[in-house]
Order: sequence, then structure tokens, then C-alpha cells
Amino acid sequence: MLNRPRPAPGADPDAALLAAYAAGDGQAAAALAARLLPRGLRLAARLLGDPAEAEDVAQEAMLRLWRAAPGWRPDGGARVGTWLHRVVVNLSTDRLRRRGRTRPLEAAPDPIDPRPSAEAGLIAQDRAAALHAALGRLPERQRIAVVLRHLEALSNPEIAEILETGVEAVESLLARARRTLAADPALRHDIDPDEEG
Amino acid sequence: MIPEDDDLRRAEGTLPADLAAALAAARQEAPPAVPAALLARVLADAAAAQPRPGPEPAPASAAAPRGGFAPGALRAAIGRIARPLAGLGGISTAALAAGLWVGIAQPGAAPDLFALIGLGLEPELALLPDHGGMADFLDPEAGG
Repeated sequence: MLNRPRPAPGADPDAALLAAYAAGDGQAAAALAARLLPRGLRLAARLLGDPAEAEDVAQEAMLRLWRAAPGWRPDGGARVGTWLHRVVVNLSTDRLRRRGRTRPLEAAPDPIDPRPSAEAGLIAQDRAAALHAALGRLPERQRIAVVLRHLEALSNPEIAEILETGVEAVESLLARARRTLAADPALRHDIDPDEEG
Repeated sequence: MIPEDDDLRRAEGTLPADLAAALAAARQEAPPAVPAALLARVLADAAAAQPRPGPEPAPASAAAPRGGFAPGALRAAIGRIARPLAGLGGISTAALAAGLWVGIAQPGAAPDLFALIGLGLEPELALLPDHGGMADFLDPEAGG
């Protein structure tokens, strides 16, 4: 194992690990996988709604990272984590398009009827299922933007980098998605269903 | 636990309570445990793709075989010899073009160069008037 220089404050620690990996450090890959793989896997699962496919995408994204390691420039370009998110998003989008479907979460349950649980409030599982179903009804880029912003808690500039667009476009995507989600009856348990009909 | 920024809290503050709660709950979900088989595949990929530190590059003199010319050394030697001649390329091209032009489209008034230097027939074109004519030319009154 090689001695790894401690990254400077504010520097990307993943970039330092990637440089160590490229220099032949046998432990750096395990450290990077421990840091990046769980989030990559979770993002792929959220976008694809299929655990097996999510594993394939996460593995492929990590493989691309290994291959990119020798040419990685820590002083310019994206942070390693952001770069990996972009690869996961692109691979997931490709798979969704190959499947010929625009909504990734068909496997998620249908929007639940809010009436039975209106009084007691939804249990967490129902609420999560309703959210995933509602996300599945969003247009592709709006859905990705919501997942990255509200579930992965990435910043708008990071999302802009991942989607290869501007920050204003991301804000616009998010605003439209929030309006659609806010109007989704499966997520509006404060509305009296009798008044809605 | 993912730290939340103020902008995110503010944005979700404008959403219906159930939606905001659903988003917050989903955000706080712990990442899934990575299956051991997936981790093993990822690390195997990493091992296969990891650049191998190669031997130190040998100096150029050591790379060439003793008593002979390596192809690289030969190319370098030719380059050293040819480099000063590179500037002559333009001159030779210009001379070739001029020669072709004269050969294909010789100007009618061009003198026979062989005749001029005494190697052939008399020049058909008198470049200068004869002596008498020249005298007339220089002193018109004497000739008249």
C-alpha cells in the first residue's frame, strides 16, 4: 500500500483516493467503493425502480470510474461523486429508453386511495409508495431533478452539471415538478376527497 | 443522515405537508446495504482495470542495441541530416514550376540561349541594331 497524501481542506477526498488508485494503491478501490457505491446504487434504484437493474448500473458506473482514473484531473472538472451521479443518471436513462417506457416506476404500487388513511395519517411505507408512484408520473427530466434535489439533496449547480444544463433550467424543472406533485391527489391528504369529486 | 440546506427547507415549506413529509422521509432513508456479490464484482473490476506501475523507462542510449541501428535511432539520424535541407524545398519547387512553364508555353520573344552563348546558329533576333544603325541612332545628322 502506498502512502496517500492527506487531501487539502476543501479538496475532493474522492479525487485523492482515485489518484491513489491510479497510482497502484490496492486499498484505494475498496475505500472509494465504500464511499460511492451505496449512493450510486440508491440513485439507480430510485430512477429505475428495479434492484437488479440498479446493481448493474452501479457496477457499470464504477467500472467507468476505474477506467477514468488514470486521466482524472483533480484540479478541473467535476467532483468524483458528482461525476459518478451523472454516469448513473445517464446509464439509467439509457436503460429506461431502451425499455421503451418513459416512467421508471411502473413496478411501484398504484397511487393509494387517501380515504382509508386520511384520519390516522399515512404510515411511512404508504407515503413512500405514493411518492414513488407520483414521481413515476413526472416527465423524465423533472423526475431526475426531483430525485437529485429532494431525495439525494444535491445542490442546484450540481444537478445542472449532472443534467448538463444551466442552473435556471434546473430551477424551472423543479418548479414544474413541485407544482405537479403538489397537485397529485395521492400526495394531498389534506384535501377532503368528497370536496375534490 | 443527509444534511439539508436552507434552500431545500424553504422550497419544501411551500409544499403540501404530506408531500414535504414524504420527501423528507425518503431523503433520510439510509442507503441500501450493498450486496456482497455486487461489491465483489466492483472490486474485481477495479483490480482488473487498475493501471500497473511499469518498469522505469530506460534511457534512449540503452534502448538501442549495441553495434547496430535501432529504427528510432535511424529515423532520428535521417531527421538530423535532412532538417537543414528542408528550406531548399521551396526553391526547388519554384524552379521546377518555372521550367515547366517555359517548356510548355515558351514566350515567342524568348531568345535562343544556346545561340547567344555561341554554341549554335546565329541568333535570329537582333537584340541590338547593327553598327551603322547604331551610329545613326547616336548621331542622326552624320547619317543624313
